[in-house]
Amino acid sequence: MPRALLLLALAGLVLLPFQAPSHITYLVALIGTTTVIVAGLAIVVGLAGQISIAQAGFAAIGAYGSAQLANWYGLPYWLGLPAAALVAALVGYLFGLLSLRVADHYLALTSMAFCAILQLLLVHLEDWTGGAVGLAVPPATLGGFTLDKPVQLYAFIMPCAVFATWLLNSLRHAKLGRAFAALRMSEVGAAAVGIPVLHHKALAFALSAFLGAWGGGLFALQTTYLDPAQFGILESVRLIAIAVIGGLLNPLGPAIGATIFVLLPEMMGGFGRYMTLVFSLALLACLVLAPAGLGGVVHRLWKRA
Amino acid sequence: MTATLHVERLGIRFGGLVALEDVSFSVAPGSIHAVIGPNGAGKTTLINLITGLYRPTSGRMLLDGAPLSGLASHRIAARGVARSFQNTELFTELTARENVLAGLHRHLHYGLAETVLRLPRWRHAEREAAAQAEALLARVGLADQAEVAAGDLALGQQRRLELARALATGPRLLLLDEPAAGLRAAEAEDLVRVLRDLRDTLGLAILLVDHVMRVVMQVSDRITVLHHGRLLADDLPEAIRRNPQVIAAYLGGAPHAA
Ligand SMILES: Nc1ncnc2c1ncn2[C@@H]1O[C@H](COP(=O)(O)OP(=O)(O)OP(=O)(O)O)[C@@H](O)[C@H]1O
Ligand SMILES: [Mg+2]
Repeated sequence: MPRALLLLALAGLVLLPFQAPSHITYLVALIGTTTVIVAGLAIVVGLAGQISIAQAGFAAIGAYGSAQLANWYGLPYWLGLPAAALVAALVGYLFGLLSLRVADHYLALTSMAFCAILQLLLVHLEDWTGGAVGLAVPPATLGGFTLDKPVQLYAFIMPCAVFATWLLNSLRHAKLGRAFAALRMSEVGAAAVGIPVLHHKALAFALSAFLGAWGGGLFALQTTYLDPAQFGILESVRLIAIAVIGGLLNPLGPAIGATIFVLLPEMMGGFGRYMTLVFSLALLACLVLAPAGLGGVVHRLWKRA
Repeated sequence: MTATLHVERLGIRFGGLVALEDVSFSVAPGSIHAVIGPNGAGKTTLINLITGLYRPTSGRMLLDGAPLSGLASHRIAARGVARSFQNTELFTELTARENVLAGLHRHLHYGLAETVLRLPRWRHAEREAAAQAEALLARVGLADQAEVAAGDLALGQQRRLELARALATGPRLLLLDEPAAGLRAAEAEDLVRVLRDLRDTLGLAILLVDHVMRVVMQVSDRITVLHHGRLLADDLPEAIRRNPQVIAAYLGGAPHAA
């Protein structure tokens, strides 16, 4: 039954751009982008249990990185995006190694500082980033064609979102996902069965950074203009809220959370300025009432049905 | 024949507290070697030293003649040393099966790409691992609990699961920290059978820390007694039972004395 529902949803995603108006297509693609970024958090925070407030920073590496590789060297996105994501993964791995020196809450604070520093660099390294004024993102091209219509971006972004979700699902049935879960629950237990704990913490950060940067690069293509203000600590916290509300341990959690967080402001119209309040309350309610997130609620309902 | 484990003049201090000092003994291959002593004698500390959780301040440890000192915990595990914990360190939210699968971590050889693409290498490795996990769970009598979260198991079952997880790593030396504590008489009998079986069929060397003398005296090939971090005696069970020093320091006053 769940499988049939998922296939139906996939079919809907394929058909959507043919039927829906382009701003809906844009919004769904934005859900896709957010899903990719938040999937990274599902790995590092959800599976490995390491709180990271740096995800917006990794998204910035992907966004600015792929945009500038295109600006400076004319590197096409299908090369520039993976390159930026790999650099982010390396940075993420090195950051994860810090957990040898700082742990738990201190690691969370360190990740926050890391995010703040990256944002400062975006503002002050004007020659490289466009500074506070921002940076125009050159459109993606493919064999002479320019991909800038919502439908074209949709066709590029949604497979990435599906892949990220599939990756989360795959991790549950593999040694890597089990190692992440193991170190979350008992580091001494993990080490005692031969799992190198530090390496796997760093790997979780690397994977998370990779997905964050990949999603950031997709986001750049969608907004066409980058502003350092989009990649601060608040954005990192918003991403965590999406991950938590969607459900940290459910492979569909990031997609569920992203759907709510992208669509709700649209539907609230004039009440949009109360969004922060709404989300704070939603996050609070979630932590108290449904610690496994909405993904967990859906999962329970499915089981009962 | 070289000893499976040889501990030589081992010592560790925590600040001013000397937890272990000048402890030497050997665990023969394929033998069950008990380490006993009153609370705070340093038994858990000894296991933590052997598994790399603590660094010794003096002395050394050899596994099959090769030094262990200074290696990280996961490397010592890779050398073939597995353990259980006095207060279990299971992966509580994972199922019993997943706990054992985590124990098989080092024996699974496939990468992330093979996982995501569901390639045969991943499929075969996972299928084989699942069968191994099944067999190990059956071996410790948890075949019916495979799908239960480790945290939801009864204490005795958790102990057995930790044993299965340790066995999954494919050890040659097994360190058990009070596996019989809190077990009912029948469960303790089961444990005795399991330990003998592991020694006799797998040829494992087992270092057993426990206060339950009925179990210790039944299964041990040799016994080391610690007292205030020092070696009090190291002998055959019969001799330990009659050793006046051991009786005075431990057996005489111990509630579980046989
Ligand atoms: N990490 C540590 N830091 C400080 N002191 C420690 C540490 N680990 C153990 N000790 C001390 O070392 C001594 C030996 O402790 P240990 O846990 O090895 O005793 P034990 O023989 O296992 O006792 P029990 O039978 O109660 O389990 C105790 O005094 C304990 O307080
Ligand atoms: Mg102890």
